[in-house]
Amino acid sequence: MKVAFQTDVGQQRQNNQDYVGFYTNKSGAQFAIVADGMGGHLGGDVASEMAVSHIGYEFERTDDTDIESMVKWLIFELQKENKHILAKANQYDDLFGMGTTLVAVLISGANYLVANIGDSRVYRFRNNELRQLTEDHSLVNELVKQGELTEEAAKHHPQKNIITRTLGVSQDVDADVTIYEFEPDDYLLLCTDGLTNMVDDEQIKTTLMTPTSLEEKCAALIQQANDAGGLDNITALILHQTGEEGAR
Amino acid sequence: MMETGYAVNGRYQIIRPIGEGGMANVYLAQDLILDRQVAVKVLRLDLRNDPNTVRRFKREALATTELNHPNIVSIYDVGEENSMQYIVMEYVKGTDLKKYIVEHFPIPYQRVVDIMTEILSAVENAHAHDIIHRDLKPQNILVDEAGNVKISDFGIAIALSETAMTQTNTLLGSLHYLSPEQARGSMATKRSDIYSLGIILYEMLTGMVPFEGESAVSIAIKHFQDAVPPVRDYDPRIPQALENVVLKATAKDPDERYSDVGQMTTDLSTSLSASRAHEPKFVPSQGDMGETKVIPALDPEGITRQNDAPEAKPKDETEVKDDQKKKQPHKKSKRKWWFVGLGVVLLVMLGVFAAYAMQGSEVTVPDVTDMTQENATAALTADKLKVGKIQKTTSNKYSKGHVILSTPGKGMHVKSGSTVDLTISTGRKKYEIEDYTDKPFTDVSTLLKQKGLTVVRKYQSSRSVASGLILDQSIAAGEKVVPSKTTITLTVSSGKPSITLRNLSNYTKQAVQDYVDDVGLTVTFSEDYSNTIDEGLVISQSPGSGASIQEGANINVVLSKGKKAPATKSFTKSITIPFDNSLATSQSSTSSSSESGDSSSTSSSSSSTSTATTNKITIYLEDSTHSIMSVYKEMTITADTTVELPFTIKADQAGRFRILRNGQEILSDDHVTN
Repeated sequence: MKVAFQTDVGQQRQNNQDYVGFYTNKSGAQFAIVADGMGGHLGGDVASEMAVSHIGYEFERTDDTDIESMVKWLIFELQKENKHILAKANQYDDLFGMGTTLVAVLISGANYLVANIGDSRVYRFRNNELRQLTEDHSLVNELVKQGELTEEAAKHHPQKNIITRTLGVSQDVDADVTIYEFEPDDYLLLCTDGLTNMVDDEQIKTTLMTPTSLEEKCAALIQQANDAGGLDNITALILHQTGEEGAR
Repeated sequence: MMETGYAVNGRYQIIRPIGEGGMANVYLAQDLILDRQVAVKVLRLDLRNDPNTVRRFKREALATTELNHPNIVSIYDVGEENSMQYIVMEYVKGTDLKKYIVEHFPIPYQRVVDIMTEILSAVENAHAHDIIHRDLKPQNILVDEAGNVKISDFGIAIALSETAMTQTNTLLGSLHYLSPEQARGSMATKRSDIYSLGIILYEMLTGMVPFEGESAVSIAIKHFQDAVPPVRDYDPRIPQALENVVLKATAKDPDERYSDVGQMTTDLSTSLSASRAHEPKFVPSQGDMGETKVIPALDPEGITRQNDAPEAKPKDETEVKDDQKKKQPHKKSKRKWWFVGLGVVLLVMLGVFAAYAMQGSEVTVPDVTDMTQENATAALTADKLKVGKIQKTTSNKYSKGHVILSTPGKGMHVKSGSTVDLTISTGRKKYEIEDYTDKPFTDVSTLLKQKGLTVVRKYQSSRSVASGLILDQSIAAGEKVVPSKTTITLTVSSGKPSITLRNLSNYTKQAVQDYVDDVGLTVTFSEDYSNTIDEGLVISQSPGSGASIQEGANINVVLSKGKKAPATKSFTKSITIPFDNSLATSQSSTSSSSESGDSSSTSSSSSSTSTATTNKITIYLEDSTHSIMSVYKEMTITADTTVELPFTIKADQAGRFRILRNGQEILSDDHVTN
């Protein structure tokens, strides 16, 4: 498993509220996490950093490799972190209302789980095919699912930044968790909407196919988002299943 | 003591001392830079050598600088000079509330409410920052010359309480306002501040504190044990609603007090309104503090049980968790307080004995909540009560087998020998898992999440179950689970198994057919020319090599027809061949002259005569099927004749023709196109 990630403030924002991390636990299981903070006068960057670094830190202390029990661990940590963020938000005026999206990929051997809260995304690139593994928890996507909006209308919807689930903000934590199996040469891309609002699937595909290093791919994706205007913070984390350890 | 005229840090010039506290001395000073009067609080000499005290003093002072509120004394600066710690704060010219009450009593109710509202506003702000005052008392509340209220010393109390040597001092000074749980040694919570606020309100209405005593311990015991006397006993004109604010704020059980300062403010704000004139009196439940359980007279077992004071701890700790998770450093203080508390408890015990002795055969129902059924039975029996009916029900709060509630409830006074019914928990409310197979994942997931379960999705291909429907569940149908503690993994069909398409380049049609039959696909063939792929082999496939498609799907394969013949075009050219009448004769002579060499015979002339009326035409034509070297057509004409010459030529080439009349070329074109 190879990994690279990069985050960038973009062209328009003053500070970077995205946060990204990659961690390995005592038994060699791996954990990639990307968060896009939101809300609060100053809180967005606090919430995303809290979520990534706290859960990442906790992960490093585990020694589990069983994917099913890791699911339970992650759900527990998400609930814990949710309370944590809420408490901080209520404690400081500046942080009131802060929260964060979160996508995480936890890898153990040939299995990995994908967890999602909010509108950051995980894509899988396999056999020349790019597929979004996560479902956006956004108002617009809910409308699309209910048939109220077309995909095309959703793309340029003025309210596309309204998300329906977050970490922090409310008492409830509702994460979608799905377990997948790796195939050799799979790529996973974790990213924030600062990338996907600026760069279309075809460009992402082309970038992943280009024979460059993972670092160069991350940099290229961020460059493309910035070239398209860079309206938001941009984060990309790429995992590449190089085929030895995960293949069965 | 600092001398008048000395400038602390070269900036704050001491004018005069204005107060001396347990922890620090306070001076009026002039801020030489901002040219204003300030109060400088200097840590007392005897405390300065304790590094922990110094650190806490600083930390708490800094924490307080967060607070910016018109009713909170502002902290301007925190510093150190020659290892002397000081805090510079707003100087409030006026008096403290203790003196204000003495000087102004009786205070009009409306004014009491106004002052209280300002105090509450300040405390609410501090609580919003998770700062608990812990030592609210009229001495800490300043009233300036305009009558505005300002609270000082936020956060100082805790720093103080952590230094063993000053503890008793503070305790004595503040004991009249200290909540029972603080006096007992538990950590202070926001509701502890609310208790103190209730006592301050009491004092403003009556001019005195509710509990007086000769010693700290006797005052503490009263706070534990005695109901706060109704203020209307002192002044019956006080509206019931206003009295209720005091009673509710000073309830022994923190859970019965206002849950936050905002609620108290709201309640207070309408307490003088006529509409609430007939409100009933607030009656807190009694005897609910764990330690003040009534002990049967002369029952030695009771005494042993009384020593289980820590039993009541969990309650307080939960409260603490909610209200002030972050204030870790308080652990130490808690322990120290606890020793003080323990002493107090022992004394309370003796007091309770005395109280019981006077009460005779009436007993108070003990708090058996959360005890096991056996322990509850033992406790009731020990208190000369009998266990009545046992009911069972689910509870998310109490573990299985533990008492949820008793009837009559805790603190009720009953005749000894009465029966007490118990409701016992059967554990958490369970949810019965159903059979979810073949149901859509999205529906089931939504349902289970609503019930509080954690849902994990896993994909698996299936030939028989449509994509999106559930194939399998990790918990069997019929099993009962505690939703909040349960994670269920649902295996969802991803549809038919997917096949990664092989590269079919150069496969023969038969090989392709064999392959798709083998993996379970269908194929549609089409054909095309190819200059590079030999006839009969695959030129291209769709989807492409490596794509993954579901079993049963159709693929399109293009086979080569071999090289394509270049395109040809066919057209006809109309040519008019002129007839030459003169030539018909002259031709004969010419012809004879030319041919005279070989046919100077009469037959020749006779034949020429016979053909004199015709021209002989020979046409040569070249296109893709004809050669210019061979005759395309011979004909004789008797007049101008138009012929249609058909050409079939390749796109990039041209045709040719030559027309001979009587052996002489009369028309030709080497570049015939249409």
